[in-house]
Amino acid sequence: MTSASDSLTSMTTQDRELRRSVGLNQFRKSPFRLLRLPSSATAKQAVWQCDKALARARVGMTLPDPDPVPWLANGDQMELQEASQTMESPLARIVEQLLWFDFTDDPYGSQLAQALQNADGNQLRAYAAVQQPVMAHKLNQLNLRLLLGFSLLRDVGPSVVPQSAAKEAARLAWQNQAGLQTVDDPHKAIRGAGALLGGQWAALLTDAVSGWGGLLAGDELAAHIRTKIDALGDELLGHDDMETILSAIRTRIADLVVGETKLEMASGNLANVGALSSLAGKSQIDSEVWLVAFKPLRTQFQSELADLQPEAETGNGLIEDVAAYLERLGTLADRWRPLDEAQLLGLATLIDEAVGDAFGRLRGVPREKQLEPRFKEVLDRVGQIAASGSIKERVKAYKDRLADVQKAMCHFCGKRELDGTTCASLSSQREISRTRYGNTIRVQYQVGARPVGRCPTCAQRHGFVKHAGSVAFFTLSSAVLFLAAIHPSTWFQSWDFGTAAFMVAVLVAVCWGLGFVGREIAASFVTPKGERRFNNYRESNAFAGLRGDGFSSMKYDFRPDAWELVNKQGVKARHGTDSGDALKWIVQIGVVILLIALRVCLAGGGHHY
Amino acid sequence: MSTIDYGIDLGTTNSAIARQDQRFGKLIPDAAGEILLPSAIHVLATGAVEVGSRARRALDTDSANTAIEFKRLMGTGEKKRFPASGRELTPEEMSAEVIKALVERTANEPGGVPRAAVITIPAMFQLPQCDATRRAAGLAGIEHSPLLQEPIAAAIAHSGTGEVRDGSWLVYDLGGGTFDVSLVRCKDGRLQVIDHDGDNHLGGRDFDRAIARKAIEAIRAEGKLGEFKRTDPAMEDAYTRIKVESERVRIALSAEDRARFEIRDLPHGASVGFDLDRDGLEELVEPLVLRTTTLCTKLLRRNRIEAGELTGLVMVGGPTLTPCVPRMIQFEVGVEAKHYVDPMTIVARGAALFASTQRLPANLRRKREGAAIELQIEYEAMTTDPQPLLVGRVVSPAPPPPGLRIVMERDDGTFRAPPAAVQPNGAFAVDLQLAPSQLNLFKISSVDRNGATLPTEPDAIKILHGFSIAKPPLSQSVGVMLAGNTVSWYLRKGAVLPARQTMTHTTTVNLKRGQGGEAVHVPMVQGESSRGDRNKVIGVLHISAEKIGRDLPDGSTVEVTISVDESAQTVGRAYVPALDQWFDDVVRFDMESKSTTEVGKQLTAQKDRLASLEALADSLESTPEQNDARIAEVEALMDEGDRDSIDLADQMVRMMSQEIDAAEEGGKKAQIASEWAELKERANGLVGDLGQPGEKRTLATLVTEIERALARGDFDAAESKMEDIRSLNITVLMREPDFWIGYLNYLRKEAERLGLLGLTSKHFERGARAIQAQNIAEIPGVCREIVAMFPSDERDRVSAAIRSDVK
Repeated sequence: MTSASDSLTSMTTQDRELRRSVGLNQFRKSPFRLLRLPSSATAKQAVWQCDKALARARVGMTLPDPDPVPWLANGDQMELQEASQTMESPLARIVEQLLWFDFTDDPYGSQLAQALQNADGNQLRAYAAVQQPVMAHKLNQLNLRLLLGFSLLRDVGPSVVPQSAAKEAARLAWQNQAGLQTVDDPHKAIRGAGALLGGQWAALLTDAVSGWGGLLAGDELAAHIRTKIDALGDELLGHDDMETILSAIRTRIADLVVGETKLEMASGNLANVGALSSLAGKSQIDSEVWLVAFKPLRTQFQSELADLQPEAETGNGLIEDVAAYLERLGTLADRWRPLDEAQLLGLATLIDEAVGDAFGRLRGVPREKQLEPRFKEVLDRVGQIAASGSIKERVKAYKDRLADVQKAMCHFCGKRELDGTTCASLSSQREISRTRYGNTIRVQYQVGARPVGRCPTCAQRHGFVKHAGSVAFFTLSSAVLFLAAIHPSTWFQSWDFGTAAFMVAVLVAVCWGLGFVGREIAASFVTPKGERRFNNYRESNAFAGLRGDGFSSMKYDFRPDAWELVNKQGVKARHGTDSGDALKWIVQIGVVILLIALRVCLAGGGHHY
Repeated sequence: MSTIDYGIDLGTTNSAIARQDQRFGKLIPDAAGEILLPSAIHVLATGAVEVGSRARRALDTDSANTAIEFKRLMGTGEKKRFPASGRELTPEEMSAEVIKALVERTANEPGGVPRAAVITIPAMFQLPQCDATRRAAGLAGIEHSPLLQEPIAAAIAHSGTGEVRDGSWLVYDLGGGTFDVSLVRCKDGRLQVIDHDGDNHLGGRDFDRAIARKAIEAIRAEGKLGEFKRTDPAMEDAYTRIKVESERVRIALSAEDRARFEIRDLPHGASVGFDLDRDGLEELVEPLVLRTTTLCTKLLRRNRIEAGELTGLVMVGGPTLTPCVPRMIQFEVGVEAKHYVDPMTIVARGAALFASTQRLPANLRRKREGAAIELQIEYEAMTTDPQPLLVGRVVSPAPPPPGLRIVMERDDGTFRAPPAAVQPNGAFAVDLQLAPSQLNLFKISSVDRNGATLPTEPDAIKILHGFSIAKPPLSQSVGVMLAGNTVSWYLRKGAVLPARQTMTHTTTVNLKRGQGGEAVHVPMVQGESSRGDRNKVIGVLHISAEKIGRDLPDGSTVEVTISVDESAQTVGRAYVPALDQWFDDVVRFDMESKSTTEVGKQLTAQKDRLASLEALADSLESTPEQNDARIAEVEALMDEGDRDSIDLADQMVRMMSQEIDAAEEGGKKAQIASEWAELKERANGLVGDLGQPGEKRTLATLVTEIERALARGDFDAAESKMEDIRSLNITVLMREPDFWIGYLNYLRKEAERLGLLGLTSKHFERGARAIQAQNIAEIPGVCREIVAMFPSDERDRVSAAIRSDVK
C-alpha cells in the first residue's frame, strides 16, 4: 500500500487508467477487500482492522491476509480510511456488502474465494456454471460477472475465455496459391479474438446488470436485505430504509455502467459505448435510473453538437446555412444512432433539440423564400433527421399550411402575403331583370366585386405603373394641344380647320395610346421576372369567382387603394363611370374646345389657310 | 513527549489554551489567573501589541487602535489599520497575536513552549478560513497545527472524559461570532459526527448588535449626532463603545434580572442610557435564537431523527449563558438543553484531549540524548480495540543491528508483549493489550542479540482505550463553477475527511510554451446550491501557462485532484496527460468579498423575485413578515457598512435567494404537473377521438416522454414536449369543421371590436355562405383573407389564437 500523497504521481499511465475504471473500483475499493473483512464484520472490527492496516501501510507493510482479488491494485492510505468510514455508515456499508462476495453464506463460497485468489479462469468458469437457490450464491454469481466483465473490458485479470474458443478465433485460414501457402487476411484472426473478448465482457455485464435488475424488482432480495439489516443491528438503519437501499443499489449499478461508458467515450471506443448503453437498455432497471445516470454524459455530446457550428454561414443565405448545418447534423445523427439504441443517453433528444432549432431558423426565413422549392427540400431534411414523431408531425403540418398560405399570397408576386387594404379590385355587373312600366324600363343589375389579392409592394408598383401611363398621356396630349393653339400656321398651313381639328384629335388619340404603351414599358421595368404583370387579373381567384357567379364583363382597377375604395364607396359606385377619370376627360376636352375657339377668334372670320 | 497535548480554542470573543497531561486535562491561566483571554489586540503607537484584557479595556480609551472579532474576517483580504503606529494587520496576523499570548502561558509547563497545538475552528468554516487559521498558527510559531471542529472538541470533552456516554445528541455551539450544530453519536466508545449545520455569521456578537441597535436608535432619536452613520469615521469610536457596552449588558443579564445600558460623553454632548431586563433582551434576541433552532430542527429532520430519540443537547459557548437561550431551545427543538461542562472552556478541554492522541511529527519531537535506537512508530493513540497493533521501523541505525528486538511493557506492569523481532528492513509489529477504558502508558525498549537493553527513542507511548473519534465530515460541499452558472462538485457535504476526488477539465485556448496567463482558471465555490452564484467563491483552480513543458492545444484534458484532510487542509494537484506533467498547488484561495453596491443589487433582485412570487407564497419556507424582517435586517447591515456586516448581509441574501430558488422550483413543478394533468386529459380526448393513427402514436410517445421527464425532474424537456402536444391538438382540431366555424365567429367578434366589419363584411358573407353550403374547405381560406385585413399589430394576436405555425 502506498501513501496517499505520493500515490498519484508514482502511478504509471496504465495504473492511472485502471484506477479511473468505476466498475473495477467498485471491487478494488470495496472495504471488505481493502480491509480483508468477512461480509459479517461489524463496524467496530472494521475500524480496528483499518487502524492496523494504516499502521502497517505507514511503514510500508501490507495486511498479512491474502488479497481476495489480487489482479486489482492495492488501496492507498486514503482509500483505507474511506473504506473504514464506509463501514461506519450503515447505509453505505450494506450497499457495499451486497455488491461484494459473501464467501460464508454461499455454499460454494470457499470455491469462489479460492478461484478469485488464484485468479484462475478455469475455476471461475466452473463456479459460474453452478446454480444454487441461495440468495448469497445468486448475488455472488452476479457480482462475479460484474467483476469479470469490467476486468475483461479493461484487459486485466484472469482469462475466462475457453482456450478452445480462443484458438478457434485465432486460427488462420491458409490457402495454397500458386504453390505458396497464403492467408487472405491475417488480421482476421486478431480481430476474431478481439471480437470474442469484446462479446464476452458485454455478455458478462449484460447477464450481471439484467440479473441485478431482476432481483431488485422482486421480493426475494428485499427479504435477504432485511436479514442483513437485522444482523447489523445499527439503530441508524431499519427495515424502513429498504427502499433507500434498493434505490442506492440501482443507482450504483447504473453509475458503474455509465462510468465505464464515459471512459470509453473519452478513449473514442464508440463501439463499446454502444454496447454499454445497449446492455443498460436490456436491464430490468427502471429507465429513469439510467436516464439520470447517463445525464452527465450528455454534456460531452452537447459539446460535439456545438462543434457543428449551427450558426455557421455559407454565404448563400439562411436556407443554405441551415441546409449545410442539417447535413452535418444528419451525419452526426447517423453516427450516434447505434450508440443509443435504448435511448438512455438521450442522444435522440439532443438531435431533436438541434433539429428543432434548425426548424425554428427555417421558420424565420422570409415568406417569399419559403415558397421556393429549395425551402421544401430543406424542410423535408428536417423531418428526415428528427427522431421525434412530434417534430416530424410539426414539419408536415408546416408544409401543409405553407401550401394553404400560398393561396392567400399576393396574386402578382406570389411571394408576399396579401394585404386587405392594398388589394386590386375586380368588379362586374350583370343585368338580372328588365321590367317595363309604361314608358319606363326598369333594369335591375346585380353587382359583384372581389379583391385581387395584392401585397403592399405590388400595390406600390402598380400605382407607379398607373401613374406612369397617366403622366405619359397627359404630357403628350397637352403638348399636342399646346402646339396646336400657339403656333397653328406651322402645323395647319395647308389644312382647313376641319382637317386640322381632326388631326389634333387623332394626335390626342395617339397620345392616349402612347399612355398605354408607357404603362407597359413602366410595368416591364418594375415587374420582377417570374411575377405577374399588373393587368394580369384573369388568372386570379377573384376573376374565377366572378365568372363562377355568372359575371362576364369585368372592370379591373389596379390602383393601390382600389379595394379600399370599393369598401368605402360600394361596388356599384365603383362599377359606374370613374368620376375622377371623367372629370379629367371633361377638363381635357374643355381645354381642346377652348383652344380651338381661341384659334378661331385670333384668325378672324373667313380667313384661309 | 510524543503527542501534541495542547489544545487552543481560538474564539471570536475569548480564547483559551488547555493541556492534557497524562490522564488529566487542565486549562492554563495567565499570570493573573485568568483562563479566558479576550480575543482583542491593541496596537500601541510604538507598534507594540497588547493582547487580551488590556486590549479589551483599551476599547474604551483608544478604540481606533484596538481590534476585536477579527476571527469573523479570517480568510478575507480585509486589513485593519492602526493609525497610532501606522501598522496594518490582516485577520490572521491579529489571530497570531492571540495564539502567541496563549502559547506564552505554557512557558512554565513541562516541555516548555509547544511547537504544535490542536486549534479549534467552527464546523462551518470555509476552506480559506481554515487555511488562514493555519497560517495564523504558523505566524505564532506553531509549526504543526491540526485543526479540530469546535463541536467535535466539545463532544470529545463531553464524552471522552470519565464515563463514556453512549447515544446520540446535539452539540449546540453558539460562539461569539459563529453558530454550529452537530448531530453526534457515541456507540461503543466511538464518537461519530453524523451531520452538522450552522451559520458562519451568527453568534453572541449578533445579540450585542441587537442591543446596540436599540442604543443607536435612541441616539438618532436624540438627534445630537445627526444621522449617526457607522461609516462616518468620526463615529467609529462611539460605535465601538456601544458595542462594548452592549456586550457588558448582555453578560450582566446572564446573572441579573435587569441591567442599565449607559454611555456618556459621546461627541457633541450626546449620551444614551436605558434599562434592559431579561424579557427585553429575549425580545431582541428571539429572531436570532430562532435562526439557530431552525437549523437544529432541519438537521434532525434531514437525518430522520426525532428529538425524543436524542440523549440530550450540549450547549457550548458563552452566549448560551443568556438566560432565555436554553428555554427557547428546549421549546423549539423539544429536547432538554443543558450545560454539562463549562460552556466557555469545554472546547479548549476537548481540543487538549484530542491533542493528547495526536502524535508529534518526527521533526518536532525532542530527541533523547544518547539514544542508540531511533524508531518510527505507527499506532492509533485513541482506540476501542483492546488488542491494537503497533507497527514500527528502526530508523537509525540503518540497517538495524541483527537480532534486535523491541520490547513493550505497560506501565502498570500487568502486560508485557513478547519481544518483536526486527526484520532486516527495520520493520517490526507488536500486538498490544490495553487496560480497558483508560489511558495506557507503554514503555519501549530495544534489546540486542546479547540481551542488552539499548536506549531507545521514543521510549514511551500512550494509548487511550475506550474512546475513539471517527474522522469529521466535510461541512460544506466543495466544487467548481462552470459555464451556465452550474456547479460541478468535487466533494459533497458530509464526505468523511480525508477525502479526495479527481475530475477532468478541458483547456479552452491554445497555449504556447513560455507564454503568460493561465492554462486552467476555474472558480472554486463552497456551498450547497446547484446555482453557482448562490455559493461562496473561495478561490480558483489554476495552472500557470508558463509552467507547461510544451505547447498545449485547446481541448486538452487536465485531471485535477483535490484532497481535503481531516484538518481541512486542501491540496490540489493537476496532471495533464498530453504533457505527462504534474502541477502542484493548483488551488489558490481568494474569498470573494462583495461590495455594498453588489449586495444591494442582489437584494433588489430578490425583492423583485419575492414580489413576483406572490403565487408561490405557500412554497416559501418563511412567511411574508419574516421576509420583510429579513430584508429590513439586510438593509440595516448594509447601512452599517463594515466588512463583517456586508458579509453577513451577503450571506443573508444568498440564503434568501436559495429559499426563493427552492420555492420557484417547487412551484414550477406543481404548476407543470397541474398543466400536464389538464393537457393530458384534453389531448387524450381530442386525439383519441379525432386523431389519425399516426397522431395517436405520436401522442402516446409524447405522453411517455413527458412523464419520464417529469419523473426525472427535467421540466424544460417536459414543457417542450407539452408544447408539441398542444401543436398536435391544434393539428387535429384544424381538420374539424367546427374549429373553423368557431374561428370564423371569433374573427367576426374581433372585427366588430376593431371596427373592421365594413372592410371584411364580404368575406364574412362568403364564410356564412360556405357554412350554409357545407363547403367547409373554403372557410380556412376565408379566415386567412380576413386575418390579412386586420391591422398588422392585431394580426399576430388573432393568428396566435389558432396557434398556427403559419401566420
